[in-house]
Order: sequence, then structure tokens, then C-alpha cells
Amino acid sequence: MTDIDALIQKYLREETSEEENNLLFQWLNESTENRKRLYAVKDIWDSTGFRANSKNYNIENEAEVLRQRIGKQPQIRQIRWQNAFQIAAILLISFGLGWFGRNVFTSTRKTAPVVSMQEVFVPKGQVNQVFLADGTRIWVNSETRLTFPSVFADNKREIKLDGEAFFEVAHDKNRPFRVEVNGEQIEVLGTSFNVRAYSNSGKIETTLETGQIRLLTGNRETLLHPGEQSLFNKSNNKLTVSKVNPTTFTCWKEGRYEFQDENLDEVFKVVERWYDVQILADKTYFSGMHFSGVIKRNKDVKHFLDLLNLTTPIRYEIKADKITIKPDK
Amino acid sequence: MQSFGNSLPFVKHRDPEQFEMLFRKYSKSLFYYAAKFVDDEAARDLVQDVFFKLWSDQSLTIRHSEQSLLFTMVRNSCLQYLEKQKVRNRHLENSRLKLREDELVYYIDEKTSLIELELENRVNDAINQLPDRCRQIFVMSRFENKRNREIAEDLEISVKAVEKQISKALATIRTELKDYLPLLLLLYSQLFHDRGTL
Repeated sequence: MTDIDALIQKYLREETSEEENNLLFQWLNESTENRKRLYAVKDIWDSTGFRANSKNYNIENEAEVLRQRIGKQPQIRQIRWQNAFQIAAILLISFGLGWFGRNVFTSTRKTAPVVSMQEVFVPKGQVNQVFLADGTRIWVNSETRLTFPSVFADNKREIKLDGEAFFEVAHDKNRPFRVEVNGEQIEVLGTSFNVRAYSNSGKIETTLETGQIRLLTGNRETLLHPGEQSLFNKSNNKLTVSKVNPTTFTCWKEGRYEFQDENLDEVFKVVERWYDVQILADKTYFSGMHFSGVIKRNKDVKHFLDLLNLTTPIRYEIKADKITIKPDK
Repeated sequence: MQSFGNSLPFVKHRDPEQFEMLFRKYSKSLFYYAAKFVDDEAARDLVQDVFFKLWSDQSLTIRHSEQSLLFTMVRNSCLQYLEKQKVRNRHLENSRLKLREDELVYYIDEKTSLIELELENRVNDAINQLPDRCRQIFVMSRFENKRNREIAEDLEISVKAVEKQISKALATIRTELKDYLPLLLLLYSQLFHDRGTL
């Protein structure tokens, strides 16, 4: 620990005196390496400001000020669900309406915000991201619905999920973050985890990447540690916890899906959601079969079918969004 | 993700929807970027001014990417603001102003901030990968806004030890991110021609 490290830290916290600033300035001009060192470190410090909430920015207030300034209210058009691009656009806008800052009550806006429920739905064939004003970031997978209040309460943050999402929850020890998935509760303080819980699957799969989460199922409470995955089966109310490689379950947000010896039925469901297609296959023939491999969103569905063909000989036919898969005997 | 070379001519068409989307997409990052150099209040105003200019100035064109145009505009506004401040405070010693200007010039010189590169996530990953103790202390300092003395008391260690861990955290994160920077800077240098349009 040198004095300069202490000085740099003081500067980051904006606690330096005039004299200390001059000292720092002198040190900066000694070498370009010094300059790089200070500004690289400050950039790291500054870029974590999003999560630290140390600087407030209320996007709704700012949008309102801008609207008044340009003297024209930008119109938000009615949602037409058939157009994928519009859906993405609406998602951003409707989410933006829910964005709030902590300084909302001290703002110049005259009307207090009314708490309403916001809903984000990402249709088949799409993946999207949602940013909450508390700093939480959520990746939302295809065919997934998220419901949350436009303004979180002072003592808790609650959100409902049907589908699959990856959460990167901003730490706030005064407001635990709860995800409700068909009766199961996931409570966290600040952590990153993936939840796969499509209501039609009867399963809730929670994979923890970092931090710690508490699962509340029925009257039971289970703690999950990084690298652990819980699988809750609703048909028999059984919860099992196992060690996994979290990346396998979270890499969909980077545009990949990794399957390790996954039931082909499950794989077909994922492919249907990701590529917005309907797979017609002989259930009795394929059930019980497994698939291992990686599918990528930037490749088309044919890529998956050819991959599948390597291990399981098939014939397929693509007609519009319907794919018929037959065993190639 | 970054969208390089994404040029949208909508500014010309005054499409309010697209304009609002652009605002929602970038204004927060632009605010954080501006707040590196100027105080929060000024940063808010500067971001407003940039979008107002974008809406009303017919001569502006997006040549390389909307992102590089916006960040360049904010950088220029910050520089103007700091210069005005310097003139206003010319009878006073203001070393902070001097340092902030020095930092801004550093960024004009083709350096790119993690905020502009949308690398906050990588920073978060790097934080998560820190050794437990180091991460705990960094999080308490940065995200829970605790002073070093408070952290030292909470953890029953010396203030020096807290400082040491925070320095270690910052140095480790910087090393973690080193791999990203050369590549991104390369990709980025082609966008800097936008500077000429202002």
C-alpha cells in the first residue's frame, strides 16, 4: 500500500483537499503510465455507478423535461402484436414507463407516480433485456412473461415470472428481491441466477451463478449456493438440489443453448420457442431419446436439424413455420 | 451489444417514436459518462442539451453510429462546460476542475470509457470473481457507500487493510479487463471520424 493508492481512493470518493488534488496532478504529469493508471481505475469506479445508485438519474423526469422543451409529445402508438420489431420497440417503451429513480418524490414533476402493474411479454423467437431502476438487469427468454409494479415498495421488490429469465439483482439489503414462480418463492439480496419455469412444464428449475438465494416451497425453505441447481417438481412437490455448471443453463442469454443429454421432448420445446416454429414429430418414437449439443440463435433452425441428424437419423420437411420430423429408417 | 456502423437517418425525419427510443436507450449511459467530468446537475443538463440539439439541428448527420455521435457530443459539451467554469472561477484555485479537464482530454485522445463500450457487465463479472474478502470489502465500499472506517469497524480490521483490499480490487478488475480493451479500441478507432462532423 503506497500513499498514492490511498490518494487515488480518496479522489474517487471525492474527498480530496485542494492540496491533495494538486499533489495528484503533479503525480499525473510524471508519466503517461500514471495517467493511465488513475483514469483506468476511476473508469472502473465510475462504471459501477449504475449498480451503486450513487448518482441518480430519473429517465421519466428527463424524458418529460425534454418533451416540454421540444414542445411536442412523442406519441406512443398502439401495440400491434404481429410485428416483431414493433414488439421489441413497445417492450422498451412500456418498460421505460416503469422506470423510476429514488429521487422521484423530490423531482420537479408535479404529479406523484401512480403504482400500476407493468407486464413484459417476450414472444417466441425473441430474447430481450429489461433494466430496472434499482440497477437490476433481467434477460428474458422467449415466450416469457414478467409482471412487476411500476414502482417498487420501500421494503421489498417483487416480480412475477412465467417462463425463463436470468436475473442480475442489484444489492439492496433493505429491499429483498422476490421472484414468484407459480407458487414457489425465490428470495435474494443481490445475486445472479437463472429460473426456467414455464407454467406448462410443471417444473421450476433455478440455477445459481453468484450470491445466495432462498427458495420457499410450501412451508420449506432451501438455501442455494453458487453452482447449485434446484429442481422443483410440482406433480409430487419434490425439490432436489444438485451441483451443475451454471454456464450450461445461463448461456442462452449470450445466444447459445447447451444441451447435455437432454430429453428430446424438452429440446424440441426449446427449439420451438427460440425459432418460433412448430415441431410435428412422432412422440412415441422420439420419447426417451436424448440430445447433446449446442444450438445458436444466429444459425437457423436447419442447423439444429442437421445436428440432430448426426446422432439420430431423421428426415425433415419445413413448411412455413411447421417442421415435420420423421425417423429415417 | 454494440451496434457498429449503425446509421439511422431518422433524425432528419423527426420521428418522435424513434427519438424517444434513442433517448431511452442512451440517455442514462450518457449521463453517467458526463458525470465522470462534471457534477450531476450539469450532467443532466448537458444530456438534455445534446438531445435537444439532435432534434432541432437539421445539419447533424449520423455517419458512423448513433452511439459514437452521442458520446462525442456529450464529450464536447463537457469540455465547453469545464472551460466556462474555469473562466468563471479564474480567481479561485480549482484543482478539481483542472483534474477533470485533464481526464476529459485523456478521453478525447481516442481512449474509450467502459461506460461507452457498455462493459459494465464485464466489470460486474470481474467483481464477482474477486477473492471473497476482497469482493466483500469492495462491495461495501462501492455499493453500500460505506466509509473505510465503517468497513474497518464492521470487519474488525484496520483502515489500512481496507484501503489495501480496495486497491487490490481495483487493480485486479483492471487486469481482468485488459484483454477486452485492445480489441475494442481497435474496433472503435474507426468510429472516431464522427468527431469531425461537430
